[in-house]
Amino acid sequence: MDLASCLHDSIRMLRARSCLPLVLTLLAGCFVEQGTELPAEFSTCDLAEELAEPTQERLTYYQHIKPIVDAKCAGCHQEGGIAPFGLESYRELFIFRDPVLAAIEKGSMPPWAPDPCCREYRWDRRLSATEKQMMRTWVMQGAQPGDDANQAPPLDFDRGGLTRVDLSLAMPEPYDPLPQIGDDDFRCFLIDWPFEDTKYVTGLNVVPSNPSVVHHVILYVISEDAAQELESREGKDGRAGYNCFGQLGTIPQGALGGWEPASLGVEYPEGLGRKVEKGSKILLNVHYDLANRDPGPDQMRLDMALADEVEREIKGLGVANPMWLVGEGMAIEAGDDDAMYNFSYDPTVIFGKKKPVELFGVNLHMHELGSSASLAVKRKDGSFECLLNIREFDFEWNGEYFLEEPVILYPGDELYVECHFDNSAANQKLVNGEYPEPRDIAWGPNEEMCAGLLLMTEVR
Amino acid sequence: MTHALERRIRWGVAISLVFLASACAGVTTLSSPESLGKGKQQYLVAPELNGGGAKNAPIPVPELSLGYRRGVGHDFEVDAKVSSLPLGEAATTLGVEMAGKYQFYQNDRITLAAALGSGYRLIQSSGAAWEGVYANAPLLIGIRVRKSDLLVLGPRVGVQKWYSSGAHPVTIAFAGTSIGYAWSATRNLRIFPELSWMRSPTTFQDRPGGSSMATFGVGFVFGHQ
Repeated sequence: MDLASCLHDSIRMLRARSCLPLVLTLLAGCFVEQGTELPAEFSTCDLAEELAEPTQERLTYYQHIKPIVDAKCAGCHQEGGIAPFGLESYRELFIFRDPVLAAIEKGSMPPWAPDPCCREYRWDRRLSATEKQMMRTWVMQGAQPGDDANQAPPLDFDRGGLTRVDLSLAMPEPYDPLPQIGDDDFRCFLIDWPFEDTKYVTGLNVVPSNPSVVHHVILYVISEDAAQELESREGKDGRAGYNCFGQLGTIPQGALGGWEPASLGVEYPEGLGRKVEKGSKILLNVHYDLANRDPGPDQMRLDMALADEVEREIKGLGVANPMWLVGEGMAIEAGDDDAMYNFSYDPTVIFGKKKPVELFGVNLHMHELGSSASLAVKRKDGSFECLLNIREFDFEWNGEYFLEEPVILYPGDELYVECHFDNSAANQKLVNGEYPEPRDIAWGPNEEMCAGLLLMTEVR
Repeated sequence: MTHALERRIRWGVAISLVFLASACAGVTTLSSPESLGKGKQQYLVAPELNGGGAKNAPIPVPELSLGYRRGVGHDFEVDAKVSSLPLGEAATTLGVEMAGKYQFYQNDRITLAAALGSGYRLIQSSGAAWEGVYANAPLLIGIRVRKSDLLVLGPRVGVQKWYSSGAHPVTIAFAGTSIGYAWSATRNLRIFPELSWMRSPTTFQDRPGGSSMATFGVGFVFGHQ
């Protein structure tokens, strides 16, 4: 219920001299009502259309399957990659064909969290219905290799990448990750920005020297003042960087971008770039995953495409209720298997200067108790346009997604975020070999969060 | 991925701190402990600046308060105050407070009064809204420093509860104090600068140690002195 409706009802009760309902309404507040605002048909589609016709053709690895696996699997499943096994050869795929097929059928591989019924995204690495059918048929037909001298050409699949590199920055020194939280090590590093004038980052790629242990990286721009305090944290435990699970230790000026395995880098749409000013530092927030592998040092490199000017500057935008940050504002009780929080606001008022803005990148952020989440535009007429819908949220596969077609947000429209959490005993994560008892959770870096994160620019 | 909220959430941090800072906005008294006397009136105009403390994001929130006081007995008076920051869709706050004050002790140098107030606050920004109700209980200690001037100390406790659609209600208990100086500028005008500081155990972003808030206001008190 919005304020206007609440006040209208309150005035009606006052006129009717319905004192008790009025008092209760005013005491409870006009805004206690909770519940999803999303309509039943939100992000729904007929997935049956996705099923492909079975084929009678005899499929082989080299003629049919290898291009698919190379394009959509081998980015992670390669020697020295983050995945526990490689899929770069026929022999490797043959060995793992059954679990690979099971993961593909389940939809857990390739990891791609966005609901296909929501909208289309760039660099979508899901297997198409036809590709899934081909994998299924190939396994059922005995997983034959075919003729390796007659290999099919690579798939026409865009995995991203930079068309040029204008600047390469490396971590100041190698870092030896060690398990800190389970098998994970979250570490931050500061890198000096070398320019004396403002630049715009138009493309970005991260190149780990030890990709087998790098789960993902997020890069931020930090002001000179903020960097001074962070620098005092570096090396306090005798190791490069500083521990930063759940908190960077500062509020950045903005995120520069992210990287995850198999990514070849992100180049922003033509004419767009993210500003980095003189005196800034680049903060690398790295998630090292040491499960099932022998750790070794990593000294990653950042490759960037730059411009002195851009047509439109990229800015970040967030959707979260500020009250969630205070006390029990986002309380998730122990044992609650579906705690829901939602919020909406019109970002054009403050961030868009009451002008339309163009949205082209989306992300939903929760922690490990998150079960599902939605990010949408609530239009002035009350209708919803899906931006990102994640039916089965997995903290391990939290990512940024770029819309195939940008969405325009007009003054009067609102951004809407909705998060669901499962704090039941069955959903607790393994900590030091044990499953802890559920406990009451609130907002916090070591607790939970609910935020929609977007990239926007002014409308051309 | 582990994200921190970006610069865009400075807005969110600001609004969050307004909740905390509103504890101050609701408890500045800008009045002396001396009772007006039956039937006597005062009018208050006070610009105030409310602040919450958060590293890298100190947020001051200005407001203008208008008040009315009336003595209803020899030692008792009632106060009403309206506060607002009217910045349209970007940020609008509205506060309404009612209070009663009872002077229970006075000699040549010291005056003591107990007050109890309750109020309602509304914050609107960018199409979203938050509302809160609160109660506070200051003890006012007036120390005469000149013939008509008072140094006023105001230890106090209070509690507020905030509501927002899609959020769990938040209860913020606080304790603190204020220091002010009631300066008799003219026969019918007192100028009352007052600094209040509050501390609450309510956490912000799960950081331990609670939160602090401060308010500075300058009350222009017209009427019976």
